[in-house]
Amino acid sequence: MILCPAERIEEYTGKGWWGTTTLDDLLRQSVKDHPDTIAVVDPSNRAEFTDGPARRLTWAELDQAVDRLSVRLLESGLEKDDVIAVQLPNIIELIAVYLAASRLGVIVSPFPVQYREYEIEQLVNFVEAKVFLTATRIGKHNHAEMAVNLQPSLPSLRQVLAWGENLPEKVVGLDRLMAEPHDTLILANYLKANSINANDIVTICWTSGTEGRPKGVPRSHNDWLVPAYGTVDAAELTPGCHVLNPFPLVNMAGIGGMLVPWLLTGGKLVQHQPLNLMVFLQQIAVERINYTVTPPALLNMLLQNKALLEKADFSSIKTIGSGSAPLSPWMVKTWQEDHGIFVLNFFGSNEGATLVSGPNEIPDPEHRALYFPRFGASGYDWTARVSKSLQTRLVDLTTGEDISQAGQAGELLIKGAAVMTGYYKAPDLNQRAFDEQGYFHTGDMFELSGEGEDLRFYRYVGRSKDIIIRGGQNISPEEVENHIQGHPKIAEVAVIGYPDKVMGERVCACVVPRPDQEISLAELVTFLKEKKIAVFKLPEHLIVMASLPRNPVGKLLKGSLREQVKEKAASEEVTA
Amino acid sequence: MTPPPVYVLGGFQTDFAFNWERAGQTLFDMMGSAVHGALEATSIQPSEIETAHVGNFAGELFCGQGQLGGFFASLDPAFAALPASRHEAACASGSIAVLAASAEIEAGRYDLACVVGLEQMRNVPGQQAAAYLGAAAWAGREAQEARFPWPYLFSQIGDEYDRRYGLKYEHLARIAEINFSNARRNPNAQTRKWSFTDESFQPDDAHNPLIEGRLRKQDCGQITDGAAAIFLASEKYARTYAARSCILFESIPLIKGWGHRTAPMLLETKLTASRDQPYIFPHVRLAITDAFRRAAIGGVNALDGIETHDCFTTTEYMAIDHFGITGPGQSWQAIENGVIEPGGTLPINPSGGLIGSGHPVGATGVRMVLDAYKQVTGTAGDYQVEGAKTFATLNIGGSTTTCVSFIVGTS
Repeated sequence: MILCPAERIEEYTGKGWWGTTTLDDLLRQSVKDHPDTIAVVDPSNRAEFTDGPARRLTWAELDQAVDRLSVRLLESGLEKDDVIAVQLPNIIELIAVYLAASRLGVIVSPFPVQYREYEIEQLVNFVEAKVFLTATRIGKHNHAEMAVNLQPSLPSLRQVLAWGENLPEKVVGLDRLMAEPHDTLILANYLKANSINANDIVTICWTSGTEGRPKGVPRSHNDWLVPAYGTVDAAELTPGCHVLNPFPLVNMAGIGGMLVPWLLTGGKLVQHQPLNLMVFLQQIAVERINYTVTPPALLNMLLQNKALLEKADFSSIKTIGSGSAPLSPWMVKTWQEDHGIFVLNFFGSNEGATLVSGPNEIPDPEHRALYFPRFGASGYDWTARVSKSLQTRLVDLTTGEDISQAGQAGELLIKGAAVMTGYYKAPDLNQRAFDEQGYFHTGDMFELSGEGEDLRFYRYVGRSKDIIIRGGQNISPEEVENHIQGHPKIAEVAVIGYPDKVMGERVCACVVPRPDQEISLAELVTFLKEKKIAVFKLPEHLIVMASLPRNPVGKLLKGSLREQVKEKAASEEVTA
Repeated sequence: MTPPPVYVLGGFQTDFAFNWERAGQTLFDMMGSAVHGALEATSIQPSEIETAHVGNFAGELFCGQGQLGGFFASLDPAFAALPASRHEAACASGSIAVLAASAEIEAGRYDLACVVGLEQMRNVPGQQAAAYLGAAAWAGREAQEARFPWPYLFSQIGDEYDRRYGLKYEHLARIAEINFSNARRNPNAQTRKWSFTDESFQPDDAHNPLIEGRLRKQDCGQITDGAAAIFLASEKYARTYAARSCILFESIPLIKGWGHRTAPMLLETKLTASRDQPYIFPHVRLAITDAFRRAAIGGVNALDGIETHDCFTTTEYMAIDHFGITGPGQSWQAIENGVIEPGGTLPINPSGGLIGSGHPVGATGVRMVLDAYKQVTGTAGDYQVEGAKTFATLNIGGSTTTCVSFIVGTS
């Protein structure tokens, strides 16, 4: 399925930004070049959250697993461009799913493991997924059972396939099928009849917007390769390097930041199910990891916990990626000067923001913590390949004019080879999301920085869109508000994020009860759980108010509410 | 416990182009011709046969004749007190007879069985023959409105493919063309001397008229007379037979695996049960995978060729994906890729199949096993698949009501 307009493909191909290589081509190249080196490694604590042994597969073994899974998917009646919904933790199987889909030209729509009936029904029906691939046990929950029970309300869904024990009725077990020899003829016939193009969509990932309805971001092979080169260049990944992935392999951070860079460098990808610190540190030491990513809070904490730091072995680590929240200059500097590790600062999004501060672009560690290179602004040249195919502007939110002075906040607009073609099946959203020049509104506020006239940096200011980002998961306040509004004791509600050292933000519900009613957080959470929504969307703090702050015409003042909550949080030391 | 092996010692097929009624011969003559031919081809003495199984669908309707076990016992004085049975499962009657005979050998009751399948159909007008064949559907409950019940029902199978996956006529036509072309190399094929033009395989109402629904003349199997007989043996008999025939025991093929499934009678019931599933007939897939499993082969990759039911082109189209040659609904890929043609990676119906070779209903299942035997022993003559060691059959009765698959190969 090619969603990108032909003229854009022609332009980007002509400029050399896009090519003809598919993710499967990269896999096959490594299989050919070094079949017997280790390609993928399961989390060592796999048994804690799902069935099956923790395995290590060579490139040849991985290739065979991908072939077998491809055959099983074909036996499920999949045709090119069909969508498969996938809900798996960070295990080898999840990697194999992406690679099999890439081999077949079918589209993976990955769901975070926290998604429950509410999200699954909505999203499976939206993308009309034909097959649901999952595990019988993720944590304590039987996801295969959940999916098969939902099947009557999922008209497009033909089969639920699952790894793991205790298979529910009507679920096709993959463990046995994957262990058996497979018929290559079925795959050979399919591949002869269908050609896979580097502009074919390979994934539809999910992001929450302000509107409350989930937004699907389709990406092609080319769409993934461009941001992946951003990671390869910034982290200075070399052929055969070892990378450790502790982010859910469901969106830009996991796929663009880990999976595809690993395919590009043909090394070893070690999976980590987020987040178990002791396992994480052990994996770094045992697997001789060269590159990984962590939330900023973890990097701060490690430096402050000398006992832990002394026990850890970071000798193989060259670079660590971080970001999505401002980094502490002290932290970046200490890692570099005391430990010889370069901390990278990423500003990325599913839609295609790819600003990366690596040591090549910004050698000064303290600058790197605070600034991003102005990729794609004319007059500044950077070495990272991703900077060549990206155009960025800062635009004043009220006047809509381009900003050229330091210190004036504006919305970052982006265009180029890493930017999505548009949200899946959402012409109305796309109309608003792109400006008349084809630039995408990121909803993120930056200002220009630098020395004197040399404004070569962006500095992050905040968000213009009403959205909560909790531990990397986007949460739509409107969606949670709509659920809470249904509670019989509640008259008015506003949902906002409050700052948190570990998660970045957490969800806070500000409610006005109906007359003579009282409501507790526990009561509210119980009510929301019955709606079967993902756990990470549940409020972790409740503020009961007499009224919500509104302007004279009745518009809710979320900014003012945020300030109130921040103060209240500071005074009460909200830790949830 | 693995049951003891069942060996195939060869057999005989009558000329399927032969019109027995016109030659003044009867169903009894036809059975005699097949059985005597098989005895002669294998140098087995009548007195050695310990049990006989007859596959026949509708002797009562076409010839007014039942009790065909008695026919067998009348063939030779040595058979006069032989245990003989007759089996009916519409177009899969022959395979059911093979299953029954092999079960007796596995059970250790007998060491040598003769299986003969036969049907005489050209002794009645075509429309009458079609009506008799309708008895394999649920009488009075389906295909009531049809002129020809089976083309009508198998056209609906094509419709179901079209609904779930899309179906192009050119792919059905290519199946017919390959089968007719293969039949030219088979000296027993009914259509071996028939001539066609390019228009014969086009959706052209003059040269390839519509019969029912989407099915045209060349999509349909023939009304055929004919019989086929084979011998099945225990290891004990096969060893003796090998020694006295001066052949290597190891070169004698065996039935490596079998699958047998029966689905509810009505086509509508079957299609409703599989609605929204990948395979149109999951029970057909099961019959095939049962055979793979019992033969301890991984799947279709292990095969060198297939003799499948193709009473209509839609039947073979269904067989292609159900065998696992392509994903469900994607049989066209194997047709376009040339996989199923002679010289392809997995030739289907080198004999010409039912469309090319002919379909004397009760004989077909036996004829398929005989053709598989010929292929894996390198004795298929002009339609030999080079170097074949393992062949599969798929024989279907009714609207896939009875499904039997065998894997025949050398060990």
